[in-house]
Amino acid sequence: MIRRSRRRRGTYLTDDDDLLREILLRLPPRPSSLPRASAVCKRWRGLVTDPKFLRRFYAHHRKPPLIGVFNDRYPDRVAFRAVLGRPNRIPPQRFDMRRHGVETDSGSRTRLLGCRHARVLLMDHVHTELVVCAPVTGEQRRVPVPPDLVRGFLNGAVLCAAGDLGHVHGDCHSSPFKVVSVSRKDNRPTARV
Amino acid sequence: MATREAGKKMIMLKSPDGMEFEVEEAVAMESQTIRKMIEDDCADTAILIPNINSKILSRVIEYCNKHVPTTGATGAAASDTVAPAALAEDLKIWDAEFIKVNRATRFNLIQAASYLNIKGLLDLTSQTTIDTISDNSLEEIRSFLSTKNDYLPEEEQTIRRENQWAFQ
Repeated sequence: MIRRSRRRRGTYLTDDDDLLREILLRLPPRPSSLPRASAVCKRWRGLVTDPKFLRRFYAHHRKPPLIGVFNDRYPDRVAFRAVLGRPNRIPPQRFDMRRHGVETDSGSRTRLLGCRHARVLLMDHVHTELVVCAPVTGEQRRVPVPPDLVRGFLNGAVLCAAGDLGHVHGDCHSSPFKVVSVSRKDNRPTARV
Repeated sequence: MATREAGKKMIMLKSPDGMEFEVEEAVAMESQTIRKMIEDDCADTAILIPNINSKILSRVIEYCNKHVPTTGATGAAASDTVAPAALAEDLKIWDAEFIKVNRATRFNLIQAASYLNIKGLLDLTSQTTIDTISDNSLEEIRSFLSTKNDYLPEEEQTIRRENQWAFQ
């Protein structure tokens, strides 16, 4: 009898996974939203960590917020700097690429070229390689610098190459990508994809 | 029974508690579920809407009446002389008033919007619910949605530690 009256007061709404999913889908697209929701109870954690839900979440909110930038500055060299306030302020350690074996500290010869679509592009001057790192997942790929670009002033960008219909940039860290590198040697610009 | 009144096709919607609502077909078709029934020719008699009582159904019809596109239908507040931006602003103000209901009614409206597949109403009701709780503490969220914390204290600590910054 007690159970029955409790249900009547409204638990039935959140007993329905589909409806709860509809509500949780509209959580603000802030970094703290989903970690906090997953601490509410086991069922919520199950819902908000489901890859299908996450795809819908990204698609619903379209443009993800800017959570921070990567700097390449002495003495830290390549390091993440959050731009949001608490509780959405992700500490630099979370995106420290040294955790994934990429030497980015001041003694290294790694320089930041750019960050796009959840991937950071770095130039490793020791091995003459372009390093693509997804700091969220730790995935790392190394591409040799094209021989004809080695001796010039090199710059580059990493771009999401997801071709699937409905892909929303923001959830790109497991999508295919392209690296564009450009160089200027003897006043002659050269580009490679 | 689908009837005609002043040149407009009418549809009868029935709630499980026996109430009948005669609405314009265009208004009823704001619900994708009803639209499909009509388009599949399953709606030549009155449509029974299960699980949605007359109080909630009448609110849903009120919402659809306000939101039905103005071309070829009446009921919305628009006229040819109103600019689209002003119309959107008017709808926003109307929505804000419409959703000032108690928690139980709002939850019933979410269920109805989901079953009847009315995207605008589902957006409005779900968004209002999440806006109410998103800045609250975990305890307040659990209490508002009658959700029980089933974590052991050490499990909850582990989850908090995973992303400690999100709880600061």
